[in-house]
Amino acid sequence: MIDQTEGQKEWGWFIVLYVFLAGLGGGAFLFSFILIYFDKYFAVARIGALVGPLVVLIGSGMLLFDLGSATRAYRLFTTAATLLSSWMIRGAWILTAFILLGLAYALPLFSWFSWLPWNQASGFGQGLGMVAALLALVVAVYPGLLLGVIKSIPLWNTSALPPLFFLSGMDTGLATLVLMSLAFPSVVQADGLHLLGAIDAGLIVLLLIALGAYIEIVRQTGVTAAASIHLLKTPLFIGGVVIAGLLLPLAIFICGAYVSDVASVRLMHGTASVLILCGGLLLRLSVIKSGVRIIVR
Amino acid sequence: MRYGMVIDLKRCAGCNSCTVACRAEKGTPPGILYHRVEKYESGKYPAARMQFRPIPCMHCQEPACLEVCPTGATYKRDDGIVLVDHNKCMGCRYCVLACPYEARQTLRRIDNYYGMAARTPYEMLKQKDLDKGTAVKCDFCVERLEKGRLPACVETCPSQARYFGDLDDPESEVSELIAVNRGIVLREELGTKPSVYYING
Repeated sequence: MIDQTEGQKEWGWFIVLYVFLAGLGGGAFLFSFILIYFDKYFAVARIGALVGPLVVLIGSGMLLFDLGSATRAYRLFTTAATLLSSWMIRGAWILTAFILLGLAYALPLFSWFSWLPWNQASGFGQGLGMVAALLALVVAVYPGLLLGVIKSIPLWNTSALPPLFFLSGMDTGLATLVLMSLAFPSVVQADGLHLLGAIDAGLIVLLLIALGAYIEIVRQTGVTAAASIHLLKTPLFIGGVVIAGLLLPLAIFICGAYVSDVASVRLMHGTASVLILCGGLLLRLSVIKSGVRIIVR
Repeated sequence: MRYGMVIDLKRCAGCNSCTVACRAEKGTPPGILYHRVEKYESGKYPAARMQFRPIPCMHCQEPACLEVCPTGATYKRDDGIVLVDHNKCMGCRYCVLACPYEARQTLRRIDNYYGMAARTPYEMLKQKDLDKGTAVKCDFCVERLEKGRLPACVETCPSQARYFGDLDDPESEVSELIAVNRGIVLREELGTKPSVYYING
């Protein structure tokens, strides 16, 4: 019998924003790094490489706000022994490393910082970029682990959650790049938008599979998990995440592939990207707010 | 040495004296309970029953709260008691979420009772170690144990449903009660190994 149908109240909007921004920043950096590596759309990609770590920095700031008293945050870095057990401190170090290395890679891409002794073409700069790109992967997966190890909340305590957050992070990161590319019509033209749209459509298909599997598996996990899924399936989730955040952008990207008029493609891909960002945020909100705790007795 | 508790649910009447004794002993502010009694129905009419389950901190041997704590604020003493160091806690509430027994709370604010303008001297004394925003929980009344007394809830229980002692000693009262009455722990499948046992009614 389910009589405990309230989601957890401890973690709220700050954590939701953090999880959203971490995925977005990690994804944006990763795709920008790949584009720079293959020497594509440099003018957009260098902004993406800078925006990635900055967005993750803002997301980490949300974690500080969440503490209520940011002056206590230094306590996170005063002990190393907890690295053996706690995912939160591992995450703190991962975020710090990603922000520093990501910025170190991205800054020399701009002429203001050309005095730095390395750039993306030098061996050191490329090494920095590769390590930062690996860390970007971890940054996007980590929120799923942070929530996933909490065994008192079955909605989170599943291995299906990290892939879900990771794919959604990549999806929102790429959507951010698409939006930024709209500001550079001469750099990213219709073929470029078609390419990014095709990758994003592929990500959305993967995300639909991951989300469907996640919901079905959690639904079958037990009464508390089923209660969580009951809470999760609000009109906001079905309309905002599944329809407006996934199916509609997928349809737009597919239709967009057959449109060659640049102005129309820009409008369509821009709309789809905004929808993806809203859907990504609502996904985090739904999953975090719907976390029902197991019944104690 | 491992401190542990046995709660005999056959004797528990759900009077909440333990909850009140705990609150008086610890001087907890409104909204904060280190101990609670869960009330639930079991069975169906005409055999329906109201049942009670007092829930303190389980002082687990493998505490979920300790595992997730990033700062080392949560620690376990050699005698098995799990405590929070308020000078190390940064208020992330990870432990509050991780505890499967909901034994922890976040001390969001310290209010006064009955709309009083100031805290009483008693409250100020009892709350001197509390820090707003940090995690709080039952500590098995360590300050009483040090003086050779029992935790407040155990001492108070009018139906003598609670027992306290050393679980490592096979001849202690608690160990014998668990052995004879097949004491159980809550949510054993999670592997937390609680030190609070229940004798089901």
